[in-house]
Amino acid sequence: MKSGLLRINGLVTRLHNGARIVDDVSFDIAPGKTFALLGESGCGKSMTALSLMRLLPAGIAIEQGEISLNSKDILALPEREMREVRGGQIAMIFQEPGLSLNPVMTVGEQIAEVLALHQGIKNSAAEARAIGLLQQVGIPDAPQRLHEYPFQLSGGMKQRVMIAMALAGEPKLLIADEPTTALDVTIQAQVLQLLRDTQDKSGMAMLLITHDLGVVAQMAHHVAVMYAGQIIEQAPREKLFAQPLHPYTQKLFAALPDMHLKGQKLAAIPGNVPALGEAAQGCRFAPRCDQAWALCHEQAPEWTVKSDGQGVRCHLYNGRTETRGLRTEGMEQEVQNGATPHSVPSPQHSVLGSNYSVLQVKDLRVYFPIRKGILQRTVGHVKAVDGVALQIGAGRTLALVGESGCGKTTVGKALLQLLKPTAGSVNFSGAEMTGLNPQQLRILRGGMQMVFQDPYASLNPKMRVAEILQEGMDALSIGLNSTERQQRIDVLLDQVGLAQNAKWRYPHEFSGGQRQRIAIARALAVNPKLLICDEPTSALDVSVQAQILNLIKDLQNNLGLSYLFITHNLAVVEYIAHEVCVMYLGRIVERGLVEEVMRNAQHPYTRALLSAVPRIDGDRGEVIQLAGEMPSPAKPPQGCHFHPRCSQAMDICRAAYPEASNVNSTHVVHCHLHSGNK
Amino acid sequence: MTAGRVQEPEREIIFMKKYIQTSGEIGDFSTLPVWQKYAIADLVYVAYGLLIVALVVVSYVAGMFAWLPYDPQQINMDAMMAPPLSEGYLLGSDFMGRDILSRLIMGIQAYFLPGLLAVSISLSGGVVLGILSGYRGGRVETIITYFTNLVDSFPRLVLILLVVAAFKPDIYYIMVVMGITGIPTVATAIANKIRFLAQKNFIEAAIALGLRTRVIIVKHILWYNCRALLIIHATIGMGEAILLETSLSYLGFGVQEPVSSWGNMVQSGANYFLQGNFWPSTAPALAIMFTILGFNLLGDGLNNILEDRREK
Repeated sequence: MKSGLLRINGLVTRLHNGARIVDDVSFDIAPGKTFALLGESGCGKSMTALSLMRLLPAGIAIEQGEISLNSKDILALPEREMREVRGGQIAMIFQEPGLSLNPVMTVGEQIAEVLALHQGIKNSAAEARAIGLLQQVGIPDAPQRLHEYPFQLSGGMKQRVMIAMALAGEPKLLIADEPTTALDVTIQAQVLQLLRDTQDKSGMAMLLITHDLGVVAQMAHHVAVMYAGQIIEQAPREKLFAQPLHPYTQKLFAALPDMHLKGQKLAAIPGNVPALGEAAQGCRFAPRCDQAWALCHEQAPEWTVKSDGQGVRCHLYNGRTETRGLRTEGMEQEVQNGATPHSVPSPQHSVLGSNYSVLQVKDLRVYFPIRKGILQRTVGHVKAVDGVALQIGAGRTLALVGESGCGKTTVGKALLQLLKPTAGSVNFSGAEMTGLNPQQLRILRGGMQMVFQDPYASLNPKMRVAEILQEGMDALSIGLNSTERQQRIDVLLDQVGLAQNAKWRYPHEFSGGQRQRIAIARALAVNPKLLICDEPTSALDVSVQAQILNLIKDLQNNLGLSYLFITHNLAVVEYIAHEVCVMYLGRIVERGLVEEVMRNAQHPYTRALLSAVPRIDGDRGEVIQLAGEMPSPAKPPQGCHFHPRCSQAMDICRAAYPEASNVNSTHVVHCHLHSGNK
Repeated sequence: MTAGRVQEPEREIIFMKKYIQTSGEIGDFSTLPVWQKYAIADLVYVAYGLLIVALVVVSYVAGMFAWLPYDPQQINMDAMMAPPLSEGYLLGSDFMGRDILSRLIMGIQAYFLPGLLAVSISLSGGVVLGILSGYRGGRVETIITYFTNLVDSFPRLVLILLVVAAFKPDIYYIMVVMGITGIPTVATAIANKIRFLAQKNFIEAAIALGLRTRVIIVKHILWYNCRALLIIHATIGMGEAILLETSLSYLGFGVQEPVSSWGNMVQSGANYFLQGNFWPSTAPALAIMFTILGFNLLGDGLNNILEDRREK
């Protein structure tokens, strides 16, 4: 490790009020290797990266520690020389490419700026170099793109431009802060591949900051897990994935939803991620750790390095086990097992198999008019949803999967008539929902409720929890009087796992996961049969996501609810759904039971989608690279919508949209490859 | 809610998540005592503002039961230009020997009802137009935008002088003009707030729960999320109304002598200012300043408290 390119030793970064948001962090990065910092929100991983760029926001400062790059002390450099380091030696790419590019400068100008600053290349030479860089990051028609503005590029393209800008300074170290979190899986696969290729070619080191175990498995050579400002475990990737030592790391693995865990509870970590810089005595994970004993709460564990180089910050491994008294034996057992999700008996089969369908949707269409000119004449339509049919049985979960912009959220809102469907029928437990007057609709809607993605926007910030929960009951006259309704609020809070003292509080006093529980309780208050869950966990941390998924499953088992689960996360689909519909550009391209679609996908798009999900077993498999990105729903391609990106496209795909073909009685696919077996 | 918006919420959320830190346990905000919940400065602002409002009540009660030290219009040739703190005259008397304190207290009535009229016109007009434009959108919004632009493009003072010339210099006519010209600001603010709220899911959730549109507008939008906005517009409007009333009374267009207004008190006292008799004009001028300050601080403080805006 002496040959490290970047060495960080004992870095402490403090908030102005003294809270340590990066606490005694040390690691080395070897040239040409990828080092991953893994952690949930607020654990200090981004602050570590900003510390070593010396770009900390006002009020946050490095207090102690050493950072050296090529044996040069970065912290001692004057600001002038530090500017040489930034961009020249260390480059950074951010999570949100749309906000990292200057919107009023062309792509070429922004790259040329870096070239002029760090390479001294100007004018036509810079232009030629910029074209070369854009080609290197896989942007087609580079000479034209050079003169385009960021808003003309898609999210994936912007991230490629960011990478090109980072490469322009020929850095020795690239810091990638959640580089693919904002991108769809298929685009994520492209960008990760690009980062790997560039690293192979240029030999730069990479500091990858992420919360996604799958991305780590694919990219990293060495991994450090951060929790509440500290590195709690550090190991080569293979070792960490084979045998995670720290209870937190073990839980992170166990909290990932997966097919194999179907019908079992996910090992959720109780509680929430501590806030940035929350002071703690003892081990910071102790309050959420089920293996903690007295010592853990009193004394912070030392950093222990095992003989094979795997380091961990936990009392379980520092040879002080004798203090644990009687509990020792049982604990060792559990440690060896690693993370065993406690299986629960699954009574869900009792509700399965009923053929009674709660929701039946036929040929649903939602078109948004495109208006132009002074007279606002309609010149075309964005076909956000174009002929969707689906059916949900009682007590069943249907997952609607697709990338952003495919229209899945629009389907959810159109079912509830929050958006007026252009055509089609929505039959909800025997009653037609479309074309009703507001009064009739008001009553019917109670049976169908929605849980939204963003727990911060879905609750009225000025209302107390009890008021939020009571509102729906008041509107639909559920419960006879206010005492009865108050009692029901207590029951609801209990059902979603919130304490009674939550009742008189405001939403801003709750964390993201807790707010999502309130949103679920609000929906349950009016006795719905069907819940439309629109990405209910995608704004949450992995450990909290597991809590909410468990809750959603429990509610189904106990109340016999049906779900329409809208998501882009295929791992969640595998875990929670009974049936799956895959959407592409406003249409369903494949539908079937979850096993059929996940294990035996027939549509080329589904296959590409599945192959693009980074797996934590590190087995890269063969990622089916999709060319380009999803076209605009305003101008869908002729014939099969997917053919421009499909490697198996035939002549007929360009001419006609494929009819439904049955693979078997439950598995349907819209693809010309299968149109033989009707 | 508006058509044509292709939804791409995931990106925003993930970005946001990075900056909003989740805290550990359920927060304890609700259980904090008032002085810890809100900034001390805001509480002081509100307390001072309420004191100014209390003086309005004092004025009407005292006027009704004749609890004033003197009749404010009573001329007393024996006590002309009595200095402040002289016997019987706490703030002195003016050139006709009228008690300044009594005239100051009655002067509150000169601005209060007219100001209230102006504020209620601009708030009620603004709320109605704002809701129509923000919640309905489309053609209604276009028409309302044209109307507000039209009103905004007339200089307020010219309109007032036109009204004074056409009718008579009555403070209530002037305040009606002031109220109408205040509508566009309120309407725009409300419409923008509604457009901002419409993107939030809780409005959609309320529709899904079966709430009536009326309830959603009045309760979720107006009561819970626009009250701070309305309060700040009301208090600022009141401050403006005081300034306008006193300026016009000073110029002789507003409240006419012998009825007292702080404006005509400053005017009548100004002639004696350079002779060393500063109090007849200084006292009402200070009253104007502290009252306008009071209304503005009241709005500021209430706004911060209702919006939970706390200095860290």
